Amino acid sequence: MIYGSLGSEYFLDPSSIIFNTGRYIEIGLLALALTFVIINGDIDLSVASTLAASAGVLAKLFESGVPIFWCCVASIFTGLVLGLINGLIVIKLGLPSLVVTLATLALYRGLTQVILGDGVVANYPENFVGFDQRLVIGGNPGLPAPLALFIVAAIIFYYILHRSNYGLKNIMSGSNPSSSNFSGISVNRVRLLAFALSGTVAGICAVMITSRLGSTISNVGLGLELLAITAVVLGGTDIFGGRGAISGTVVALFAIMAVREALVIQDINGQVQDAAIGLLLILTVLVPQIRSYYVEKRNRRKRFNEAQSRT
Amino acid sequence: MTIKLNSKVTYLFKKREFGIFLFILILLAVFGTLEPRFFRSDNLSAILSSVGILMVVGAGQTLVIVTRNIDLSVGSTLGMAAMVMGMVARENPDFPIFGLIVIAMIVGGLCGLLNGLLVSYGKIPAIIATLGTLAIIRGAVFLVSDNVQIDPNDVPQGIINLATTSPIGIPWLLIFAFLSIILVWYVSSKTLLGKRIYAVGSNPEGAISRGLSFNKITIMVFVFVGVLAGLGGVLYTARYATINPADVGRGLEFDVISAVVIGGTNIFGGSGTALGTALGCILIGILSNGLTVVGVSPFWKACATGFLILAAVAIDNSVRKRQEQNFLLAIRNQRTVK
Amino acid sequence: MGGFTINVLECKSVSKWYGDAAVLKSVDFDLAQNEIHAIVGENGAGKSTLVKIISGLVPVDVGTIKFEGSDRTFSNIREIQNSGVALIHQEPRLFPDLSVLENVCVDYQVRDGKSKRFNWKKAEGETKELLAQLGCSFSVHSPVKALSVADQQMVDMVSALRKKLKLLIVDEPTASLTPSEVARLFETIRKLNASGVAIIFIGHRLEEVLQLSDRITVLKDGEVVAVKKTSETTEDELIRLMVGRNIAASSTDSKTSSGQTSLKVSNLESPGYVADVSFEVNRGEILGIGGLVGAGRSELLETIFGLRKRSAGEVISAKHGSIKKVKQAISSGIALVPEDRAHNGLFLNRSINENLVITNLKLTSRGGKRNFGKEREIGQELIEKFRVKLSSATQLVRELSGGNQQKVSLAKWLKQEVEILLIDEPSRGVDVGSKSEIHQFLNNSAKDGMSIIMVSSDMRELIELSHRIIVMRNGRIAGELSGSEISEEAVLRLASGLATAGKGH
Repeated sequence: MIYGSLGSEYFLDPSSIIFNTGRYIEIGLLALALTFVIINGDIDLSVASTLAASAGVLAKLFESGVPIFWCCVASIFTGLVLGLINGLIVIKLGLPSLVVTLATLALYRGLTQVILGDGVVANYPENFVGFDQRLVIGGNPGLPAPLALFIVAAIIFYYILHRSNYGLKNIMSGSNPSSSNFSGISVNRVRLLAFALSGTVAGICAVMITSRLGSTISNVGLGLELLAITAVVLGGTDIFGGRGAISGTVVALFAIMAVREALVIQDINGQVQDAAIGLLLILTVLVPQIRSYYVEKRNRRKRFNEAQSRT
Repeated sequence: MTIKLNSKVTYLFKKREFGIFLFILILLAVFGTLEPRFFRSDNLSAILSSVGILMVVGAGQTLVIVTRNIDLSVGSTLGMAAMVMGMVARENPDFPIFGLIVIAMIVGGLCGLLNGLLVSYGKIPAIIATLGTLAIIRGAVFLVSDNVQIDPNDVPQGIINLATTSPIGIPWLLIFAFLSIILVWYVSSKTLLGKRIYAVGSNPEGAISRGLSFNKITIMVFVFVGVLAGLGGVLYTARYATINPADVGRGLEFDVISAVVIGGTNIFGGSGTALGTALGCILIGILSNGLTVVGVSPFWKACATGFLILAAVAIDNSVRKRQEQNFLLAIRNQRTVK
Repeated sequence: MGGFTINVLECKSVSKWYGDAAVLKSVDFDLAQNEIHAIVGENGAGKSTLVKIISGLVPVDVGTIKFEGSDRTFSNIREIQNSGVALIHQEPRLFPDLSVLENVCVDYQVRDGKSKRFNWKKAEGETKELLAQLGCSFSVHSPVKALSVADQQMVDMVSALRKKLKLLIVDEPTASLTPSEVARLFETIRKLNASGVAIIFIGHRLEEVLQLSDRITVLKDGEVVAVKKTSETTEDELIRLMVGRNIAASSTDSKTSSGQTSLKVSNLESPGYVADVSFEVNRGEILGIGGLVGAGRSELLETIFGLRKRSAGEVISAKHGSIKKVKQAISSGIALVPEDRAHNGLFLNRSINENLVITNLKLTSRGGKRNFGKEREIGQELIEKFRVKLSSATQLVRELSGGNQQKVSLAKWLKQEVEILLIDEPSRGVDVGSKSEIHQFLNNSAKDGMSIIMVSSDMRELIELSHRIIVMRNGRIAGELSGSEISEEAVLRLASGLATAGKGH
């Protein structure tokens, strides 16, 4: 469904896109992890706030002199912990993930604000900053590091979702939690792992975004969750769970990237770009509905005629 | 044989709103003692102003959530309505205030209609549809306004006055807030339509099989919240006198949904009260203002809101679970004993 | 009665197909205005389908339905509701968060000429009166979720009564009711009938049917087998008609089990559903569990399997010791094929292969990594072994017929060593061909040493397959039947709490 939109963007100059991919890769990684959460029937609205809190931890530790490497580790660890907290609240208290992650969206953002306050942390070491400009493969246009990372991540996630036992359990838990329990799957463990994964990935993205921006302030990553969720849903994953694919998320991300960059080149404002993505999202969900409506109508008529012909 | 829990159940219900009310009183007491400035009239009116807009939109969002939907686009709708109204006012400085308000509400209603159609006939889950329209409408705000902001001098005095005065001494803003809540309260507790709205959220398949016009009701609640968001746009303009295409209404949906959830409305639909939402709005308003006045860094506000949401939902959940267990156990134990 | 009575309803040659399966075959059915007419038949005989057609919820494929003398078609639900026909289900369709009064009034339609404003006071008064007539004591303002199932049914009835009712259909209403609630329900039905409402009653408990009805129509495999005046028939005759012949326990030649205990259940208790259940199963034995709906049979199986909370008692497997949790049960060779395969047994929007593989991951994968080749292999093996009819293994389970879905629900467990199979309603919603294949499978497996605990409401199935039958009632074991004691009548008697036959507990 979204392959169509990609086709229309082929006229773009590849090199300009590729070097702008940094932002999108962060969203893409979040979306990849979110795919797991959404497929198994949950949702995680707090990914951007988790990213922010992790970035805050990274920044503060760096400021107090901890070597950058350990700050990054701490960031990833923070993401993991925050993700686990989400999972534990949802599972142990039996609360809907929409509301819990709505709360932690605020909670973790607040945490970030408390950690960072009004200030800006900058002065990161030179070899740390600018990750998004590094090339893994040189030449023109070359392969920027973030894109390489994303490809690797996409492959890994693909394997987990579609080729591992956990992935199947994840999909089935989203398709029918009750049948999953009856089949001996520990649905709660599946959900917890998904939340932990999304938190950890947020922690990794925190490192990336800090490197790309070269500084950290408290509203880092504000609003990313919406784009990430859009990418997942746009990619064909059912918001209610039980159906979806990593490949869909990947294609959706590239579609978003293509649409936005195409609009940027035409000097169209960011808000309008978002609107275009929103429109794409709605069309992607709407068109199949319209199609299946007509298919159902046709089937019904067919069945009716068959029944009549039997008499 | 029914469990004689009638009186207990109604007691618990009252308890919920009462609990929030109590909590509000406690907060007032705490903030007031820590910092007497809290009770100064200009501070209180600041609280009421921010709460007012929240209440107007929250009233509408309550009904949306009751039907098992959600509207993430209210902020954008508010912005759109405000912007259109502002542009009309700018071009026609003598346009009647009442007319401006109506325009805003119509614009909001149209946005709501779009959402309603997508969710009902389009069968798009509300969370996705309104995620899309959130972006689309905001983009439309930009296009319509040509990225030109509405300045205070473009805003008619009449509009600005809405935030501060009215014939009876209480600002129109508060009157509108109050009226919105009363309207939702009335519809949900006294009218058949209101009961149908709750029925749709309580048991959607049952509603269809009972012949309730599911689509019409869905469209209606979205249009309603759209209209209220439009009104909110007017009040926003009255309060801030500036409409910036990028900022207006941004993030409003989060505050509104939080207030509704804290106020006791079940995210799965079927239950929730206007009063609860109103109290939720007041609670959030007092908390954020109070924290600032008392000197706590404003950064704790987000944390506090998050905790409130968790606490509210967790308490609701445990109460509900205990209720259900009691009912089921009593009924079942009767049967196995015989 | 006698002489010329007006027929409220006349169905002629009504037939209905679901896909290729004929659910109703040329059924004639008529209903006089002042009668209570019962429809009886085994599971799958077509009773529910027939009443759904009569009430307008499901369109008829062939045949005519005349209501009060004129042909009848509906184009929307409003029309159905206003037609004067109401259908009360087993599970009342109410709005849990709303009060009784609100539930009843919610679909009130403004009739032309009346004012738009809804008069709550008046509605409250009317509803209170109706509830009182029905013998209900709860307040109209109670939230419906606080009511027992029996009371909810009453609310459902009141909603139906508020419209001008000409024909009331009650579908298996007594399943979850206590005897006093049943009495109250019947009282209500009789009163309604006396006031001019024709009643169609579907019931499984034959003594209730005999108590209440004026005429009884027996359906079997979608066809009308007989229409009898209640005063002129007996339970035995009805059973014979429903079933086709007197069923005695089938030849007991191969029905002896090894005598080795494979599973022992002691004093098992699950709050509210199962109380003090003890029994043993032997290797190679098929133990049937009979009882009426609501007796706790499914809950018993779920508790044994570890899905339901256990408050007392033990489940001990001869080979593996005490069983407490689901994963333990599975690794001890216990499998559960649940009653509601759509909600608990299958993943409808996933492929057949995925459904088959999900319980066999240990076999097909290594170190957590899936092996698609092996999965296809195992899937293919199971599909062939059970002769699942499909167009491809990647087809969605939702598209399979009932019988094939059931085969998948069963097959997914059987790649591994299953010592004790817990199976709940093996042939519900299953076509005749698949049913006999499943039965064959069960018999053969038992011969090979598998212990099978089988819950069934299908009397023929229960009696034909079981070596022994324990009958449950209200969460406890009401009695046990073996050998020549086994008969439909004996099971029904124990299930309904009538005079005990055979070994009691």
